[in-house]
Amino acid sequence: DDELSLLVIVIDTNPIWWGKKALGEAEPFTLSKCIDAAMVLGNSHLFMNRTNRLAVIASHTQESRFLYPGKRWAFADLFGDGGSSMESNCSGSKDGKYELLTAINDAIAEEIKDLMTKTDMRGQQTETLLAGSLAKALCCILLITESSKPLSNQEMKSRILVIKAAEDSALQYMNFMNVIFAAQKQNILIDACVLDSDSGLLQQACDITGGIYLKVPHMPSLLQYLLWVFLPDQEQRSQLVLPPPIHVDYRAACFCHRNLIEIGYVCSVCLSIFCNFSPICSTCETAFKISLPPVMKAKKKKLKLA
Amino acid sequence: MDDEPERTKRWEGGYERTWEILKEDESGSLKATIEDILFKAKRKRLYEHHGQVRLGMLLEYFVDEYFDQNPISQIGLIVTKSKRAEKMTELSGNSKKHITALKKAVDMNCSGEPSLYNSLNLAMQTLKHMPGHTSREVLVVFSSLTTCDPANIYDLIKCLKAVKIRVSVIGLSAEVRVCTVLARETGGTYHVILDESHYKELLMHHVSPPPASSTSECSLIRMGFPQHTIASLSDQDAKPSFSMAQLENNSEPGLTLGGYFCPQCRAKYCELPVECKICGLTLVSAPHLARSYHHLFPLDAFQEVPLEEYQGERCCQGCQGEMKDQNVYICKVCQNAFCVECDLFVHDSLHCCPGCIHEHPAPISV
Repeated sequence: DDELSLLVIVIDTNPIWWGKKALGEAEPFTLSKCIDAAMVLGNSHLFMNRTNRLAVIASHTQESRFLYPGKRWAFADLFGDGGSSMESNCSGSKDGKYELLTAINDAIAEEIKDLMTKTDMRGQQTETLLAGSLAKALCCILLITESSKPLSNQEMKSRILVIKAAEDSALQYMNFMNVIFAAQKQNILIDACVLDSDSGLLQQACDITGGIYLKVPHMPSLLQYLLWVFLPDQEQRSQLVLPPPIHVDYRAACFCHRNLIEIGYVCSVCLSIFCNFSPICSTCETAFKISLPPVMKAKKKKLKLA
Repeated sequence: MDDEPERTKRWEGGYERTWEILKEDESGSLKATIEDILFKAKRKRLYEHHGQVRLGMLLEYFVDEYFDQNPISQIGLIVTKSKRAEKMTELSGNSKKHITALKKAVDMNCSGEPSLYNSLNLAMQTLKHMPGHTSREVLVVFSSLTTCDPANIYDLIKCLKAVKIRVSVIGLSAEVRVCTVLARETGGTYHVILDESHYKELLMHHVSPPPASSTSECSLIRMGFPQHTIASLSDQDAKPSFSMAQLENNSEPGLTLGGYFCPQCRAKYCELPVECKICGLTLVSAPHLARSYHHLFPLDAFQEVPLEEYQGERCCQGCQGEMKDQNVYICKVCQNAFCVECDLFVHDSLHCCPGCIHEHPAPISV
């Protein structure tokens, strides 16, 4: 009996970060190489089991684009059993590769080229819309899970792999936490493969949902890390020696200075955290009731009437 | 005493003609109506996709959901029988204690009449000492049609109102007048269940915190955010120690290397959230507070538009699937369209619109 395993790969395609990277070294690690590695991981995942499923999302600064499956996909397209619109569009495999994989790789390549060349950079947006891409990934997982229920009695196990390039966006904290709690409730793992700087948000996501967090020590060897750490699914992970869980800093950051604090004051109305006591909450502007020690009444001396 | 007009009872209203919901179109077929009914059933099915949960387990499910949505809140359980009321569990934030007590309660035998007065009195004794900024609520699951009280219950209702305790009642059999008055005076709700799924729906409604009244006090609560230390066996200085939770139950494992240390008094605990037994500081982690944020910034309902009237692309902005249902759901802020499954998922679990967080990555009010 086959188990259904769905892998969603979310690739950070922040054009500013990748642009800077390309200018840096002599042999830079480019976005194409990253996408190639992701494609090999996707193909390998589909090879692991006949019933495995794949989805790939590119997380950009302006939008989140589904690289595969494309727009308005119907569930039948994912089977690749012939007669699907995707296969009839592709030109056929040139190197004898399984047609579905060729179709998927071509679709991904087409979409990413379209995304990176034709998207206008509007406004001041420089940060990757990672929380938004994860939200769409969750909706997609839900749809695939619901659609596959009548076909098989097996429960579908899903996980999301985030390949992160640019830095965290602190402004997205609340949306990110909403996404993490929603994923935890649906038993969806979030794995993180971080290319450059450590990401506190993704560390929390991996810790809460039970996924693996890895900061890649050597970027050109990305594929090796992807295949070693992130290819095995939940069941197989318990039998392998994988990177150990990292120490996650769950201290809160105070709203006034953004310092990490161990003891703080929490407003009972809006749950804002402050490092020092103040009579008014700066977020919701409530005046707090301060409990003063009881005032001792001065003892009146009785004047003795002579 | 009652100034509000009471709603008319069902037998007092006019005669309802329920067959009029079926409408035939020009060709005489009922297809449109049937599709409508099927669509509503599908939406209802998606809404209750948890499946068949037995009546007895619903309370345990409620306790789990409650602590999941409100990790820093506390629950206490009271039972009433034979004209008395007794505490099954004390007010605490530990869900395991409550679940164990509920499991044992299945074997308890029911006898005698319940006493609404005694149970409310017992609840009031504990709740009135709670700090002013908390929301104090009592939920009564009441199946009897009578109650045996030692004193005037209307006086007790006045006391409850004065201490700002909200009492809500879920009736299992029929409407009882004293419960109606109780709920109305204290600001709670009173419903009588129709069937098991309705019971579940009513229970789940109480998981969300009620809106705070303007008269409730606001204060700054001092809390600690301890670090989780994981010492490894190879570390020379690592000393195994007992956790303070051991004082209560002996079933926990004994010595552990890592844990959470209270920033004020260095007492060790294995799990959060917890109230430090030594210095009284409430210890939480940042995600516990973050879990309650969505209650403060609730997501507005999406606009329901029939598929024929929708002019845009037939592609759901959430899951990218093709829109085949009767209606599409449009977010009023970002004007993106979603299918019915995404709409339910977004409002029940995600609490933020996938379209909006692309347009405005930072929350608007912060």
